[in-house]
Amino acid sequence: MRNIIKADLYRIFRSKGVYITLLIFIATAILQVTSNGEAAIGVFAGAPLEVPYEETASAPNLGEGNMMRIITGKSAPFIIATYTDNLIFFLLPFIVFISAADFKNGTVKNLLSSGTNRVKYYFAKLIMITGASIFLILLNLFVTIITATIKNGFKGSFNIAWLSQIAEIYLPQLYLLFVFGCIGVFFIFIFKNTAALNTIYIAYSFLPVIIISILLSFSEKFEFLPEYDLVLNMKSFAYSSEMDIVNFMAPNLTRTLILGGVYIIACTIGGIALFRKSEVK
Amino acid sequence: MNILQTRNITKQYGKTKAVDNVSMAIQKGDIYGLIGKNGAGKTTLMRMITALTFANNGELELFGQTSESGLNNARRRMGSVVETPALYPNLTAQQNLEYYRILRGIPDKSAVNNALQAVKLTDTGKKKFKNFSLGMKQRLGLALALLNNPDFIILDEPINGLDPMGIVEMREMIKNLNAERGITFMISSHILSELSLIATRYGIIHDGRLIKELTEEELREQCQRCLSVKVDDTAKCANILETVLNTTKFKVVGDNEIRLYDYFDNSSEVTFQLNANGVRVSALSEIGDNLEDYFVNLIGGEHCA
Repeated sequence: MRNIIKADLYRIFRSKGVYITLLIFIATAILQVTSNGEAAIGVFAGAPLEVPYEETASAPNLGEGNMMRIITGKSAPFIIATYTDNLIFFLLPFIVFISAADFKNGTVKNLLSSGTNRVKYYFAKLIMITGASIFLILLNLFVTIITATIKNGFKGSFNIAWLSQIAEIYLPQLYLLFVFGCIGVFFIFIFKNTAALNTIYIAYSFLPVIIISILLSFSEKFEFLPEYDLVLNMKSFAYSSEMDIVNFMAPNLTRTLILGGVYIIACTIGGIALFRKSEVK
Repeated sequence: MNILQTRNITKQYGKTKAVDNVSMAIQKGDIYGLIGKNGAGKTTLMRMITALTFANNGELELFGQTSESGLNNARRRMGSVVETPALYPNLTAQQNLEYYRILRGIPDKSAVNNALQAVKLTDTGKKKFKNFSLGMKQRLGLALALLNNPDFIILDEPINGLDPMGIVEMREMIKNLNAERGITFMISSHILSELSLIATRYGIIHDGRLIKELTEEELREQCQRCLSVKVDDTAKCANILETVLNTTKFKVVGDNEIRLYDYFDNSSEVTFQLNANGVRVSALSEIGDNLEDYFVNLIGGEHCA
């Protein structure tokens, strides 16, 4: 399994695609900060929002007495946490580089015919996806904090309390991102086709939220549905009262762990069981 | 020693049996030529051996191993190119082999260059696999199969699409690897005349069934050019051949046929002497197959692969 991972790393970092994806990813992360870097406060609803003083700046363009909210290095992780669900889509190319490429190019045949155990092969891919998920979350955090710090300063202290606040939001999100990785790996091992993976994975990420929204617009009895959606669960961890954003659904770690666990177990057991006896073209 | 043995191995797709009760054995040092029409079951059989698909019935034994984990271990001693050589299109020959060297845990870094040297692909530089010619791809596929110093290599149509020079090179490489490194080969090919130049044993597969296995000698004997002499008394005929025509190069086939591997240029003398000594010759004709004719005759005259 270690050899599969080492060899995949050797291969992936020799592909232009991975660097192009990373460049786009970094550009998006920077845009998350720069495009949301300023917001007028104190002019809405006649009452000022409670924003720490160090995260404000005067906004003369908006009239006297108005302030602008700025994203600092310290506040950036909490504000951009609402965009972590974008990483689901950035994880897709990594699933393709890591796993789908073997099926697309037929190289999976070389592995299996040389005695690679199918279960170990599957787990090696899952480990790689875990690594990719961690890498994306960390890179997203790093780029946004650095960008916000360069633009507006860090405006706070780098301490354990701040890190643990970040962990409270991002660890559950990382867990859910990994769940999407498991789903992606499951799809590719079942369909063995990149186009099918892309279509189904993207549909699986979008459609539940759309369907839930439609159903909720018809009846309130579907209010429980958002709790079963991975993307909405991911978003729920991003909103905190500190950021003064109204949360549509309270974050619930137990619920998220169980929901994600069901997906991880179902996808992994199902994927391995089907791949173990499946034909490889 | 058997490298590979299958016992009543069967693969069924729906109601169609792609491979039907095939029992075969490949011995160490063999170059085993697998012959069959398109869809006869050659590739399916190879795919079962290489774990790309699984048999519905029967047993597969590789290097004496039959269990799932044992077979996986045995496959580490094997190299294969089934269907087309599959490698990463955006990597060079060197990078592709380096990837598999790491993957297979081969500590010797020179294994990559050794494999490339063996197939004469050391000078491809930064050229990516996707830009290789078919012949180069086939050779790189063989290099990949050689990377882990295998004892057994399976090649599915290795000369398919190659130009005449490429065919000769591939043939020489296979022969050298067999002779110098003692690698056992299992090769399927449509080009039977080529296969007949390298194979030491043959298996003929038709409609999923292995209908004939024969050695190079047996095939040569089957295909050898001879005079088929149909006579009324084979014992008397044999005696005349020995005493009057002074030849022992003949074989009695059935009750009224003798195959004479001599006197090709003087068949009239044979007829004359036999008649003169009281043996009635009802027919005399020159026969002899090449592998293609033999194959076509064996499967019943249908179109050759």
